[in-house]
Amino acid sequence: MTEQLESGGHRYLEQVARGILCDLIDTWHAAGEPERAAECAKLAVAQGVWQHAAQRPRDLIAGLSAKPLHDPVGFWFTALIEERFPEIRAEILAAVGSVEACLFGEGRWREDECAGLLVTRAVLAQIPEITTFNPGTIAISRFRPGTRVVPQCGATNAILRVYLPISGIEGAWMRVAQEVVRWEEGRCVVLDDSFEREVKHEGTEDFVALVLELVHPDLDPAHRARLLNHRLTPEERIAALMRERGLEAVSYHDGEVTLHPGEEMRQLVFQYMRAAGVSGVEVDGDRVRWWQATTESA
Amino acid sequence: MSWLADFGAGCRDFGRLLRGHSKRYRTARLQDIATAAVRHRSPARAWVVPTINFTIRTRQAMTRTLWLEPRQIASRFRHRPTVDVRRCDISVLCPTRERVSGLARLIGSMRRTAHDTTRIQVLCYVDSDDRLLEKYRAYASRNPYVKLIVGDPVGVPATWNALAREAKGDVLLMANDDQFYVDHGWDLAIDRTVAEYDERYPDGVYCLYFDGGQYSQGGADFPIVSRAWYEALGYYSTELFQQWQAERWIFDIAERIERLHPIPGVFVDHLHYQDYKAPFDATYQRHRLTREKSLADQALFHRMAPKREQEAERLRRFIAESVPQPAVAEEKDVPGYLIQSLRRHYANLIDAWHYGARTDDAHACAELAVAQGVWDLPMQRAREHVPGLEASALHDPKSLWFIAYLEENYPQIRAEIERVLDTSIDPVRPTTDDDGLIRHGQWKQAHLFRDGQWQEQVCAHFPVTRALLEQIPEVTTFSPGVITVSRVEPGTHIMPHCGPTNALVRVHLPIKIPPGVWIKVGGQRLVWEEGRCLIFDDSFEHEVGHDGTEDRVVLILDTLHPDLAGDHEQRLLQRRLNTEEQIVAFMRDGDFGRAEVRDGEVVIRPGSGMCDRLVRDMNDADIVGARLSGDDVTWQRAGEAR
Repeated sequence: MTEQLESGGHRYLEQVARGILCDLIDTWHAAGEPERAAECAKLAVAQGVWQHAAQRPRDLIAGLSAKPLHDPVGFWFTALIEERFPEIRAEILAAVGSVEACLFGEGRWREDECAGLLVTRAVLAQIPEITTFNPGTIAISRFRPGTRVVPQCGATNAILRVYLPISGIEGAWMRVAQEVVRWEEGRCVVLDDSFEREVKHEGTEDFVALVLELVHPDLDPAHRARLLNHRLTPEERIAALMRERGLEAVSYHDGEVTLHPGEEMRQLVFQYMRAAGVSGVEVDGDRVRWWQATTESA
Repeated sequence: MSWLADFGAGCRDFGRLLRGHSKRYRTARLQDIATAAVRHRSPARAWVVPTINFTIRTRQAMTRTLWLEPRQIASRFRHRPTVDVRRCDISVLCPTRERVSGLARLIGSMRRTAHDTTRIQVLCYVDSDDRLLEKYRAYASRNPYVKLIVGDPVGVPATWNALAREAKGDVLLMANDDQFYVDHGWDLAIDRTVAEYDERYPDGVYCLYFDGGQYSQGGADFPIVSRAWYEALGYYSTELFQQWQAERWIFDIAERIERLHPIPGVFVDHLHYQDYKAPFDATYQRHRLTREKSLADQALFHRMAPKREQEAERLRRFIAESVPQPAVAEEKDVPGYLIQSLRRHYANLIDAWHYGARTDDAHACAELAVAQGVWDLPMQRAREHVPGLEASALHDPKSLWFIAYLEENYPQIRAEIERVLDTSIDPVRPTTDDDGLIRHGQWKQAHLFRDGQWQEQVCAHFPVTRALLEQIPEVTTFSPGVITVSRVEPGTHIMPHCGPTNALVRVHLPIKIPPGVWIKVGGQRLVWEEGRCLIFDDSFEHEVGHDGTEDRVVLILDTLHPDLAGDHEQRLLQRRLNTEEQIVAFMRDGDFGRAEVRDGEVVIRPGSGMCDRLVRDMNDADIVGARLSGDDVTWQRAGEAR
């Protein structure tokens, strides 16, 4: 931490502060105290952590145009999607039933979730911005009547979100920063996910929307490449988990996963077991079971 | 030992115990003899206890027939029901063990002699390992006015607290299963006394006891406290002692605030074996009434006098504050757990600004947090904040008895620490707990005590210091904190930070203080003086610098904040983790389901969340194994040879 502070100046510190401020402001919102949250946001802007009190991503990339709502006309593919809307709508309502679904993520289609969505998938596959070059997801999102999502900001200002309302817009209300979204079935809305967003659904039917993510058009190619490279392969996820938990090896045989700790954790576990006079422990929810080494010869 | 010699020893014990019937021979020694005799099972001596118990029962029967029963009958005609005072609700708190008949005798005598039994709530605590548990349960089901609480065997003082938490009454009576209520109308006597003192003390804080003339000057037994007393103090019985002093503790505090009053004319007999009023049995023996323990408790009682004065002071403050005050508009309550999170986030944020040397930004955040009600003071920002404790950056060394003791023994402690430092066995190592706070330099620590336990590997090198500190329960038995040797090298700067809780105060015994070192607490710059303790509240922002040329060494000792008592104290002490809890926390933090040592290797199974994720990823990538070595990962694909 010290080195980064000295070399990278205050950028790194502000990055840390942004993360903590997000937690702080989210907690005030969870406590039902939006004024308190706003006071914190205001102070953060005064301290130079963010530019706008209503745009508070954990990761802030400088130099991107910042507005809560973008004009869909600026994105060529919205016309394509809207044109095919009747088919997409019919397919989604027929296929998805009552659940949410994530059709695409980490740079890959999730085949099992795309079942029955042939046309939708074919249409979306023509749009590289939301597939090949999408660091995020394509999802079918559903708000049940009575849902309320407390005000919150997305994690980064590098990603925009497109909402295509499929059904149940009656009573669905969304605010992005100061602007209230006007829903219309089959009409795309493009919003900047890093702005504070609040959702309420006071209708009687589920509000269903297709939600697409894409990189902010102002993002420079280097940044874009870095974001896309953040999409992890399963191997990378496994390796990251092992590093994070201090594991040396993982194996999966006969339906059972076994973890082998690295040296540091191995010593810690030995020390614990010796001190407690046990050779094993099992934790399952609130239940804890201990056992002693059996003295049978190996 | 031959049978004859054994028998002879038995006769000698019997003779001594028999003489105990006469008060002048009833010395403390008899406790030991009786305890030894109860435990002794050889046939040549096994007769001693039953025989002496027979004589005691005979004596008991005679006392009852000749004195107690006549008195009880007489009192029935003497007592006059009062109609003009409010009937108060009475909670009787009675721990009991293996004495169903004793309990029945107590409750029977209480109900027989009470004027109005409907307002008496009897709460009994029975240990879950009691061999008569089923009989207790049967008794309680036959007598619905008895509420039975079954719990872990936690000792009598903790039991009274557990019972008090369930109590609903206006007065809380301490009771025991070897008491016998003699006089009729004792409940009306309580009503009259309560009415009198409720009128005199609008705060309602007082402590009573039954006085039927059985006590010599100044004596008292079995306190009866008002609800306001219990709530102001926050606990019923102190859990400091192993046996006797719990009642004395209450009476002593009551005397200090001049709120101890008798309920005259009510006699409750205490059928205790020490007074030859009850047979010797295993329950008494279980309390381990050995003289050593008694003496240890007595010594502790005397040593803890300053603590009682603090408790008395708390009650005085409560009394002063309970003068009716204009109502303040209630603020909307933010749930406690969210306040805790807010404190944590604010503390993280302020630490980050301090780390970046952005002091003004740190202070602006602290000011906003106080304006938002997260903390009371911008300089005191513990992540865990117990409300209502006196907030003062520095504490007076005279307020703690053991400061003088520490300073007296400073030369020995210093000599021992100096002998160990920089030798091959020096356990003082660079800190791993607090390394995030070091801006430059080197901060080394060794914990002699933490999580409620002596750290044997470290203590092995400091036997003198350990033996000295063992004499101070406040920094060991009753401390949720640490005892640490702390060493700071020249050129070190520990950035401004707040300790994790305001429930502790921190004692520094400076061992070696070279020129050029300083500490700032709550914005105030202080100097250490070798051998002179500095007591400060480390929840206040503090900062340490070292611009000199030699290492600074300080012995740090934590103790509970003097205002803390009752539930909070218990909770803090319970929070000290034992090894088992540390293991469970390790498992939960890592999302591990099972860990075991098998053939000298540690094998861990993931918890369900981690397992699902791993299985999905491994299936997706068609992998059955992975091994990390440095930055490299070796994958084992399905179908490859193992």
